[in-house]
Amino acid sequence: MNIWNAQHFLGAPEQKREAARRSRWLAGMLVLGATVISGVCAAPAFGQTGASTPPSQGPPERNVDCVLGLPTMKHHTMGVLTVQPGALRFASEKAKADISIASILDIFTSNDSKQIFSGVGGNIARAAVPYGGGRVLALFSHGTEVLTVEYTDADGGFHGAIFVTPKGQATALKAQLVAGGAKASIPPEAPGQEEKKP
Amino acid sequence: MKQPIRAALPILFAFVLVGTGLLLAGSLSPVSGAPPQAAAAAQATPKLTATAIQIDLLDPGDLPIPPEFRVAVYEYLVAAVERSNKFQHVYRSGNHGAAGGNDLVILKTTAQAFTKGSQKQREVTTVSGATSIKIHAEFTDRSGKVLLEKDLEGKVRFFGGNLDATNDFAKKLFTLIGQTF
Repeated sequence: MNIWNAQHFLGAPEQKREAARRSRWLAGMLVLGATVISGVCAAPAFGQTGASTPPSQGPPERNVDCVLGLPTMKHHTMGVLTVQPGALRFASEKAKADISIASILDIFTSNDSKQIFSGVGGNIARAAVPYGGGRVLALFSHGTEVLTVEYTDADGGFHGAIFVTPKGQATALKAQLVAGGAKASIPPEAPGQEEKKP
Repeated sequence: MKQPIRAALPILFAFVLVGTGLLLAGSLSPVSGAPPQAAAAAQATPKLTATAIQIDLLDPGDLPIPPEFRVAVYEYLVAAVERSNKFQHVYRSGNHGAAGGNDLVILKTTAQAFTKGSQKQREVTTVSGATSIKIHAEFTDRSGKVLLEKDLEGKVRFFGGNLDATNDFAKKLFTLIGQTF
């Protein structure tokens, strides 16, 4: 009996440590679960921000990526893309660039997707997750649309600008541009429909 | 017992020293051998000279190349040619100023193969989902005589968006311009 008691009392701190370890593990799993759930919930919201918010409400969100094609902008500049009277305007934090509607030769839209954890930061984040778990992060993506605008400069030189916009925004912009007099070999479709490529 | 070990130490040290020297010599020999090869290649292909270049839009041929890829190839090409500083004037396709240039070369590109991959697939599997574009690049003079032609391929295998394949192609063309002009 004495021996059992001794063993029992000797095992008590061990049990406490075990319980503490389990509670820490549970808390960790809860935090991980919450992160994954919030990530999944946030993913569709990324795609809807630009499409559903009217331009007049609040300060404009710089959610359009100007991949290339505007002479005054660096590649992959984030900014706001709007249709102004007579021009398509891209405004970043520092500069503005206009493409005259009269100079536009053609406009195309296409659907694409963008990784949420992308770029240098995303790669580091993925590499930081042990046991190759970073690949799971690559599963999180959101729908985007690509707007390609072909236009000419004052000397007649051909230019092409590529913008990655939230889903639905490129189609809406194309419709506005065509309504404003821009040329397009493929007529604009209703939002949500992908146009057939030439 | 300690005496023989002490005696062997200088011999061991000499062996290590000789080994290191041989390794260094082995690693340096291809580098030292490269310049004569490069010089021979440079002698074999005479350098072209031109003060102006006109860059034409990518001809997609029969391939279903999305418009953004066609535009990205063209824009990255223009940027690469401008960055090379080999020409006084870089004219875009359709530029009226190109008509007046004396020694103008025209860069024409034609798509030969195109595979659109998936960024998600690439980053999840790391073995599939690569995007690649194979392009035939041709430098001609004003009369249409071909001065230089080469097939180049742009790829994105692991990280980056699909359009990065076009930038990869432009980088290869940048190197070709550096070697040729």
